Amino acid sequence: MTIATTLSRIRIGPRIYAGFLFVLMLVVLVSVVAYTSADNARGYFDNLKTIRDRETAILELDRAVVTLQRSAENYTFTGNESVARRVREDIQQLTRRLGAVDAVLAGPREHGLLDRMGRHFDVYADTFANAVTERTLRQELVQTGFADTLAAFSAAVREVRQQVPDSPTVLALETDMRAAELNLYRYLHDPQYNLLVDAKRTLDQRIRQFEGSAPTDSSEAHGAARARLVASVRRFQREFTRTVQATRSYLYLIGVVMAGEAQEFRYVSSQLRDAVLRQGEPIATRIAQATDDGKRTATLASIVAVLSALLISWLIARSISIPIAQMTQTFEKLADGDDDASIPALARGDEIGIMAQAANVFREKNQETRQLLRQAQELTEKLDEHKRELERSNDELEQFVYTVSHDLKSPIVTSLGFIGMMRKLADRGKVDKAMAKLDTLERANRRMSQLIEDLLDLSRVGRVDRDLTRLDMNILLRDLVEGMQKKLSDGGLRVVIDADLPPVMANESRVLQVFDNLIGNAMKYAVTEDGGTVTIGGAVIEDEVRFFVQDDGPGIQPQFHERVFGLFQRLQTDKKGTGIGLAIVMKVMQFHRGRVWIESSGDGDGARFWLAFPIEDRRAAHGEAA
Amino acid sequence: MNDISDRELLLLVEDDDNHAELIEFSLDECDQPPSLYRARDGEEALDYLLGEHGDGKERRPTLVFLDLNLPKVNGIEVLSRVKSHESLRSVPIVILSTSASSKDCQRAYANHANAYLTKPTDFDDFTAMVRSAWMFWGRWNVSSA
Repeated sequence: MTIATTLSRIRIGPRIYAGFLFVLMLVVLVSVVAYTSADNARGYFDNLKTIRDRETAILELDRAVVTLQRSAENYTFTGNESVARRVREDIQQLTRRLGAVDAVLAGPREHGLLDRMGRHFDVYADTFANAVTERTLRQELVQTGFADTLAAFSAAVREVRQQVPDSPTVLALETDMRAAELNLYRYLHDPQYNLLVDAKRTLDQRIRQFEGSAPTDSSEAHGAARARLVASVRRFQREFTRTVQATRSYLYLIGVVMAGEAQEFRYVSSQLRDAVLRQGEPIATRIAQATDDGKRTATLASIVAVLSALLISWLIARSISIPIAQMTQTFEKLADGDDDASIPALARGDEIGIMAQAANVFREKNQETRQLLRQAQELTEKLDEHKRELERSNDELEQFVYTVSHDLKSPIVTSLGFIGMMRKLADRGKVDKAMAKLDTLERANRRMSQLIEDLLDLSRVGRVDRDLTRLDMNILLRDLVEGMQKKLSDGGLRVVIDADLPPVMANESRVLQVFDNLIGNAMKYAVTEDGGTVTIGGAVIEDEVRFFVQDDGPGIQPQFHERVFGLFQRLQTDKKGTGIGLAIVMKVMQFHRGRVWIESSGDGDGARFWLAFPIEDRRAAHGEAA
Repeated sequence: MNDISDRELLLLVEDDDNHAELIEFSLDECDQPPSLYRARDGEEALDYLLGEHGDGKERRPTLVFLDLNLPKVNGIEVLSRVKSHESLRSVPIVILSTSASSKDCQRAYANHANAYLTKPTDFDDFTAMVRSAWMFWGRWNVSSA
């Protein structure tokens, strides 16, 4: 994951640019590869073109030779000097061309072949020169020689005729001569040799016949004329032969030798062409090879480039999309108020890292918000608690006022009622009876006074005398009981205090009041005719210091266990009491954040009042609340 | 009428002896005072009316004077028990209370008390009220019946 780690340090923008740059480089690389192979192929193609050029040049040589040969043959028929000149010019040009081709050819075999072509062409050129000579010679013979000879023959014939007219021999000779001449011309026009052979043979026989015949005139002049006639025929015969020879010669030279050389030339040139083309073969192969190579390389490079580009894109996309997806998830969680969502990518150096830091801030804010919310909730709860306490206190107060007004009104009704009654009795003269009511009146007033005192006591709890001290209950209770000794023995109650009572952190005078009230209660309600015993004990149980005051009276039925702690609640009306004592006990225990409860079945097995003071450090809380 | 057994019976449920004496005194001033049965608490009153712990016989006093603030079983409970009793519910019950609280008054009427009277502190008012309550709910009730 080193790539991912490296990537995570680069910012997203540069990362994308780097990716593009990389892909661009790949594209350039692929282009370079393609260009190189194309360039390579192009070099080969240039080579191939050179070879094609050479082949073309050779082909042109061929064509030129063909053209030349046609011109030469043309010359054969016309014997025109201008044609000969043009042929010669063509020969020169072709010779130059040969030189030019020689300059571009490569390879010893090719040069050798071209040399052979050159040699054939030299022969061709020389032959043409000879042919021209022969042609010229015949031309001369035809144009001038024959004319002279025939003129001499005509003159000799005329001479002989003057001497011997109507000689059939001469006539025949003349006829044959004419036939021979005709055939010769015909031959010149169309060299059919058999015609010539007949004409020559006939002429030959005729002249020999003529020579062998006896002359009709044996004169000198005639003899001389005959001789001149024979001589002219012989000369014609010689010129005839020479013409035929010349004709046959140049026809042979042009039609056979030159054509053969031209043929040879073309044969060699075709070989040369083959050779040259064969040179092109490996190039073509190389071109195919190079093309294939290029194709392969380009394909490979393209594939590599595409794969690399894909890989790089994938890596970059992954390096962006995955952490962004994670961040999105984290943000969603954070948006839902999650404050302990783990935040990924905090160590990253890119924008996602910055985002992660933002998310971190978000999370901290969430934590703060949650903290604040918790505090607000606590405050609300506290407020609710205070409200409930206040409501309870209000209710208590209302109840208190109601109860007090009721219970205070009762003795007033009694007092005023009895005073009215006494007055009425006195009016009727029943003074004694009226006086007897005074006791009741006094009791009612005393009771009112007692009520007021008790109520004052109750109101003092938690209001005055709030200091808590560590109380040694052993000493405290001993002193209390000693102080009550007279009252106790009068009431017939015995108090037993267990040894080793645990100490307690409490307000001394209130605790004394509680125990005083409980002992007083026992005296009022639990003492029977046989007297009674109260046992006081205590121990540390769980996180409380608990004390109990146990009597052996009739007990209290469970349904009244809670009610007895209410204000002015008395179970028996015949016992004296204001119904405030246990309310004071309850209030003192509440002030100490403790508890008070009764254990009794009410079936005559006594009652046990439990007092529980908390041990744990509620003093601080209490001090705060106070 | 002169026979004591023929006199109308009034059940006085009152825990305060002095108040009971005052009520008795007030009634004695009447022309024809009713015979009085005194119950000291709610339990005793119910015992008397329903005969729960005694002979099991129901008793129908002419009128019941009922204090609310009673030991053991309080006045409202006595009231609701009687008023939900099929044969006793027609017995008129007048609440005699020291409390002038509207809450108590409402609770009493909600439990079908026939009247709610607050004990006056003035003696003359007290006797007058007790007497007229007896006359109205006791005497006249019986006479018309």
